[in-house]
Amino acid sequence: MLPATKKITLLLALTALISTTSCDEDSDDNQLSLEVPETYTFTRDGESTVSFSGQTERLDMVSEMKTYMKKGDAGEAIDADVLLNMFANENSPFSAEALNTSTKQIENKTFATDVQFFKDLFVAAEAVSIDVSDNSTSAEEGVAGTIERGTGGTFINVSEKGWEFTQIMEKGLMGALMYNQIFNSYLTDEKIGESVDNETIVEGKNYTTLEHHWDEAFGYWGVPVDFPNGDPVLTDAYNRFWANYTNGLDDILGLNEPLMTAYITGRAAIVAKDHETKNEQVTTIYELHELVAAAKAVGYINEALNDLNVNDTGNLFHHLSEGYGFVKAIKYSPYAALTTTQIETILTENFGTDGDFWKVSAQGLTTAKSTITSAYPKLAGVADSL
Amino acid sequence: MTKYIFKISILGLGLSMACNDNTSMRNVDLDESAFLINIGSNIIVPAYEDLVSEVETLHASVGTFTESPTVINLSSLRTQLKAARLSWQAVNMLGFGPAADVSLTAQANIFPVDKNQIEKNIESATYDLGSLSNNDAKGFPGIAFLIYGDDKTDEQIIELFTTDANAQNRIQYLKDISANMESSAKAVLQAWESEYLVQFTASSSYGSSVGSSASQLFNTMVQTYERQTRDGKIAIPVGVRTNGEIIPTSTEAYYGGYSAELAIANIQQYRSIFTGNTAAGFDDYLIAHGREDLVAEAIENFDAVLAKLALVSDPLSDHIINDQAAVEAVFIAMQELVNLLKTDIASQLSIEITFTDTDGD
Repeated sequence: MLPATKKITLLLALTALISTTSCDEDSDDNQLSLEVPETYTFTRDGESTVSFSGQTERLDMVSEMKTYMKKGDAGEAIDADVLLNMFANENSPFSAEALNTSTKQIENKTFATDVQFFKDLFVAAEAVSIDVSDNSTSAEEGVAGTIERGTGGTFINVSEKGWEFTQIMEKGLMGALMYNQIFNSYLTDEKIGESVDNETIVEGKNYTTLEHHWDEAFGYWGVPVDFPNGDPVLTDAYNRFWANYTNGLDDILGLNEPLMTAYITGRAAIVAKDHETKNEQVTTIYELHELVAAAKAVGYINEALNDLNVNDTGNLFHHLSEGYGFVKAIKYSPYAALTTTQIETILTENFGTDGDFWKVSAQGLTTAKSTITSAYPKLAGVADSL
Repeated sequence: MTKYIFKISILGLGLSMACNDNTSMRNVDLDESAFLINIGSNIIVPAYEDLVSEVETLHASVGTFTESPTVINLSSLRTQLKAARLSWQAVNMLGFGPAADVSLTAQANIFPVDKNQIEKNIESATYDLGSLSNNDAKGFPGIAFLIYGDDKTDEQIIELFTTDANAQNRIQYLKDISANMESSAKAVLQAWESEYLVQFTASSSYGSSVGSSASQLFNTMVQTYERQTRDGKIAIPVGVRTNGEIIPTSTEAYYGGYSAELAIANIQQYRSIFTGNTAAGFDDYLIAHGREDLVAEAIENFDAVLAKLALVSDPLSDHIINDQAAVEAVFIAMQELVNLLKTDIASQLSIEITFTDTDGD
């Protein structure tokens, strides 16, 4: 439930947004009126029409992959076959039985040209974990191995380029799986355009094909249906991936409410068969998801600049690995404000020649930071706070 | 469930930038500009001016010595190196903004020095001083290694710069790392003078939220105090991080033998920033909040650290071997100050500690 004051605030905010057209005229234009609920809750004949369990399952799979990868960071030898099986959901690799029996998998939803990248990453992570487990090999320039973050006793395994396997995988899949599916599949005309069936109730379900596609995009964002009004806003189960990072930026950028409102409004517009309103929400969703990635990229560049200054190479690699993933995530948006060339320059020059983190410099990082803040003016004023 | 039967347009809503509410960092009626101007103009900029002046002179001394490698010029160079290292103690906790943009600490003072890497670089004569693996092969510790060396007489050092097969490479390396430090320090000073002081003291930088001047200064100061001062200068060499096994070669000025003196100068600068010397400092905000007790406790802690350091004689590396407990006592006093800064003082100033060793993922 919203506290009363929040309701009033929301009402005022929404009132302020009403277009100059009066409500009556609107009703005349549309057979169905647009009813936007407070939460992402939609029903037909008293039953929910919302379904994104397949997306939640895939997020759960990525969580298990991360947990497994972290065993390598802790010094254990890990097995690439386990990761490859988790990627493709083969041979019951998951600890949650529901995932093993699920018909869903990550691999066939991953941006096609990145699939081999992840497979190679798993193989390399295995090799390094074995070397670290057997020989305690420390990372050095050109040498993969283990490295301590700060002096707190937390170690990570990195490639010969200083890439932290766990972060490159996790942030990588946040882009190549989650944003890719939202941007390049579920929010495209092919999935939610006017020609997609929004009349027939899918057999055995309570939703139309169009409604379901919208839900699937929402599911990859990963927030609860009452976002951002829960207490806590994100319980442990939801505090991961894009939900976590969107919410983490809320104090500075305030994206929780507008992004959630766009998803709810768009879904309501689909019910009301109001394509214009739906399309407006799509624009907002692309823009705000992209902005989250850009803001996190700047935030991790800030962290990396600090790490670089104090010669904390372990944390530097950790933060660069995260930043690398967030910069790369931007490229999955077909409408990205950052050009492909700019992204490539950041990843293969500013973050070190050929992405070799051992070669990173403060100058390169400040260049990357200004490239990003120039492309996203909304970040310019808050760049040092991210 | 409340339903809104309005046609809602999100277009044009843009973003609600809920940032920087700029509540006075301490919700007290104090002139924040006076605080930031005092810290910026009277403490930070003069500290960088000193540093630049010292490293310029140091670079000139390097030139004199390499042109004419005599015992006298070696001695002058060593004296100037010490002067420059003392000036560094006043800026090491200022690694935000322009200093972060050139990673000044990484250019100037990563220790212990990697002498094998230095010898490798000199032998090959091909090196990228910007590479991470050279961070501990340059800066003040790098110069110190080159002009002191391990158990070498002055004559033996001079031989390395004159008759040795790699003498020319060694001369070039010394010049290169000295020039690198000089240009980095100048870039930082120039940035402070040309624009950053304005930004640091602007009203848009008031408050205590993440990114405000007070937050950046306080966080960088505490983090540096923890990692470089407490751990780097004392805890690591005295064996706190290695179950009591000492590492005397990890002291800051192992080559030169004046690490304790550097530490004292360093602590004095932290104390100056905290008190703002004779003008507005963090302490004034605590007092305005009625927390004279915290100010007294902090001053007591600073003085306790200085008192414990006074009981330690240079070379610190020898003192660690001969009287480990006395150096451990410095660490314990430093640790108390860390706790005070990170908890009660940070909380009273409404400054969020934004750095951690690990961010939980």
